[in-house]
This record gives sequence, C-alpha cells and structure tokens, in this order.
Amino acid sequence: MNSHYGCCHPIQCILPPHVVEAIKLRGDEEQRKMAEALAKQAEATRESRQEATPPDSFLAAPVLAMGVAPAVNREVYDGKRRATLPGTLVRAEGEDPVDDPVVNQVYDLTGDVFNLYFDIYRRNSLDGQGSTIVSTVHHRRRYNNAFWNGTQMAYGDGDGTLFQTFVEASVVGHELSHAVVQYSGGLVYRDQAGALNESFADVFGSLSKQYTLRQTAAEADWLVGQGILGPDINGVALRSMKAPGTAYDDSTLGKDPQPYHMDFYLNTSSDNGGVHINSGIPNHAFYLVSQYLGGYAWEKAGQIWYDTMQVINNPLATFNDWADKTVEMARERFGAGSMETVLTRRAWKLVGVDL
Amino acid sequence: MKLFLRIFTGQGITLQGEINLSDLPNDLARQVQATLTPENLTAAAAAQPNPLMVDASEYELVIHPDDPNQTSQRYELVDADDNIDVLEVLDDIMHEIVRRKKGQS
Ligand SMILES: [Zn+2]
Ligand SMILES: [Zn+2]
Repeated sequence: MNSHYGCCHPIQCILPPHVVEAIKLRGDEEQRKMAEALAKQAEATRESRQEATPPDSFLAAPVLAMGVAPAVNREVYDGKRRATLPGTLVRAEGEDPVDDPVVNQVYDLTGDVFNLYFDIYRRNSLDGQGSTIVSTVHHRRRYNNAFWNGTQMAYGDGDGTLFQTFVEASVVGHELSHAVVQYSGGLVYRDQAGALNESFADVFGSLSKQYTLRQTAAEADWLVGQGILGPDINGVALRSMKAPGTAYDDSTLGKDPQPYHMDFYLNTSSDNGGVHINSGIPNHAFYLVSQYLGGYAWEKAGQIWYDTMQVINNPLATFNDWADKTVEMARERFGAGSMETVLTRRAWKLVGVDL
Repeated sequence: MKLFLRIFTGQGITLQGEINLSDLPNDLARQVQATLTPENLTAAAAAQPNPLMVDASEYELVIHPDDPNQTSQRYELVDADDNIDVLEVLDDIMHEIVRRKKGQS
C-alpha cells in the first residue's frame, strides 16, 4: 500500500536543491531566509536519518522499523509569564501530574497528537525519529497567541478578555502539525504555500481532536480553537473548516475573514500574504472530502493529506500543486476509479481549484 | 501624545485601536515613556524574526505627537528574541485599549 514511497531516493525526498535555488534567486529577502532555514533543517534531518536507518529504508515519511517500540517523550516547561524559552521544566515524560492544570492539559493533549500520528500514520513523533516534544506554558504576560518556533511549542495564557487560553486540543494539534510540516520538507510560510502550511496544521489539529474523541466526520465540530475566545466575545472558535468565515463576528475581533472558495481568495501583504485567511479554501476542501467519504476522517482523507505532505517535495507548492498531489495520492492508495479519487477531485472543484 | 496600535495576533486575528498617553494608567504611561523611545523602537523594529517560526505576531505602532508641527512616527515590529521589552509594553497598551472598548460596550 505504500507503493508511492518506492520512488523515493534519500537525497531527493525532503527538499530538492533546485527548488531552494529558485527561491534564493527570485524570492524576496525574508522568503529567501525561510527557504534557507528549511533547507538547513532538511539537511540536518537527512543526516540524522542516515545515521538512524539502513540505506534501503529511506522514506519520505520515516516509517517505523519493525520491532521498535516507540513512545512519546514530552517535556512541559513553565515560562512563568516571561519570554525566555523554554523556562523551567515542570513535568517530564512519565512523571505524575503537577498542581498546575495547564501543565497537565498540555502534557495530555500533546500525547493525543502523538497518538494520532503514531497510531494512524506510523510516524514516530514530530520528526519521525522520536524527537522529544518540548512545550512551554504561561509564555509572556497575557499573551494572545501560541506558536511553533522551529524547535518547540509555546502557549500564552491569553488576556482573559479576548482569549481565555490557548491550551485546547485542536490548537495544540495545530502547533505540533507545523513541526510535522517542517520535518516533512516544509512549505514556505508565505502566500499559497504558507496557506497550505496553515491548512495542514488546521486539518491535523482538528483530526487529533476527532481521533481522541473517536468522532466521525459527521459528528465532529470542524472548529479550530473551539472555546478559547473570551466570555464576552461573539464567536465560537478561531476558524471553522465546515463554514470558513463564520467562526466569529465581534466588535473587537472583527469578522472571521476566511474564504471557502477561490472566488474570494484574498490578496494581501499582511499575515505573510494571508496565510491564516486563504487557508480556509484548502480547509474546506478537506472538510468536503471527509464528509463525502463518511466515517472517520483520519482514515481516508487524513491519509491522503498526510501522504501528500510526505511526497510533495515542493516548499513553494500552490493550491493547484497540492490538489494535484492529493488526487495522485488517492489514486495510488485507493485506485484510479475509486470513490476516494473521484471525490477528492470533486471537493477541489467545489472550492474553485480546478484540476 | 496619541498611540495607534495594531497587533496581528499570530492566529489570524487583528486587533487595533488608539489611546492617549494621558488615558493610560500611571504605571503603564511611565513604562511607555521609558521604553518606547525612538532609539528603542528603531532597534526593536530592526530585530530579525526567526525564519522557522510560524504563527508569529506582528505589531504596528504609530505615535502622533501633541505638537502638530512634529511628524508622526510609524514602526513595524515582529516577534523576535531581542525586542521583547518593547513588545510587552505594546501588549499592555493593547490590553488597556481592549479593556476600555469592552468596558464601554
Ligand atoms: Zn520520493
Ligand atoms: Zn499556524
């Protein structure tokens, strides 16, 4: 069933040098730095994979060797409302819960995300090689954000008015999935490639919540950040994959700007070219495929999207490049005339990405 | 002196508003005067982002002086390790703007 992995060659699978060169030549300064950082990351990943695995077992997605019993390895740090990372280690893997419930929530939710990637996609942690997952809670004062900084996760507490917390299942899954993108060759965090990076993080953030709750596509809420908005905010979440553009409409936050269709694609220079906005389009395509196929979304739609991330090998991918690859992955795994292939293509068409 | 502030939170949400220096609580007003100097702001705006970081916040600050003969100053800042002192004051200002907005409504 992993036939498409057969094409993979160790040096080409993560990031082809000509792509990096192309970005260096035509990208702007900031984009060039992002591409270089990704290339450096890919080089380091390649080197450590060469040490860790025999030559014939190189795979775009490092799949577990037989007989290896991997286990999650978590470290949760307390940032104590300061900016220094990672802060003070308060709970390492296997240790008992501590008094601070936020620490325990991050510990548990991180384990849930690890389980999705390991149980379903046989991925051993963020880098595929059992890396320790490092998280800092209580980052900065009243900080209204959570992020992946290339090495670790950090979660603010929110200001209590606009946001109550950032420690929520789909947000934790979102941030960890950014790491999976990075270790899979990466998608430059700008314009359509950046929106695909954001969308992958939303998709697998939502899937890790669905997997933990054993929800079918029909039962899931398809929200990212459900419940994290403050009590007086008119909204339910940060984003809705089911109905992009409807997550909030508030006097302070404004209205959820996400489009669900290419007709409403937003050309903007802020937010790295609208990466959190235009991600609504691929988000909705994933939602549609999941609804069409029914059952558990992580089984088929999630597998197609995960496979795509492992083989696309193009950090500057456009929506069309990505959509093309999802159809190819559906065909390889489920067959050319399969419902999976036909419905994947149809979902893209419905959001205006015509293949 | 009037401060216009826009913060892109890093999760796709943009917050913005303005406030007079004289409307800030005393402690914060003192911090603003000590920290948001032209030298500090210029240095903070030059801080480089970590290229692998995603979901980073972005800040835009415009300072309108009381004297109409003086020009307004505009700064754009990103999350970086070496400008946190300035960003934290900006977070506190936004918190005050939001608190007042929500208090009025
Ligand atoms: Zn390959
Ligand atoms: Zn993100």
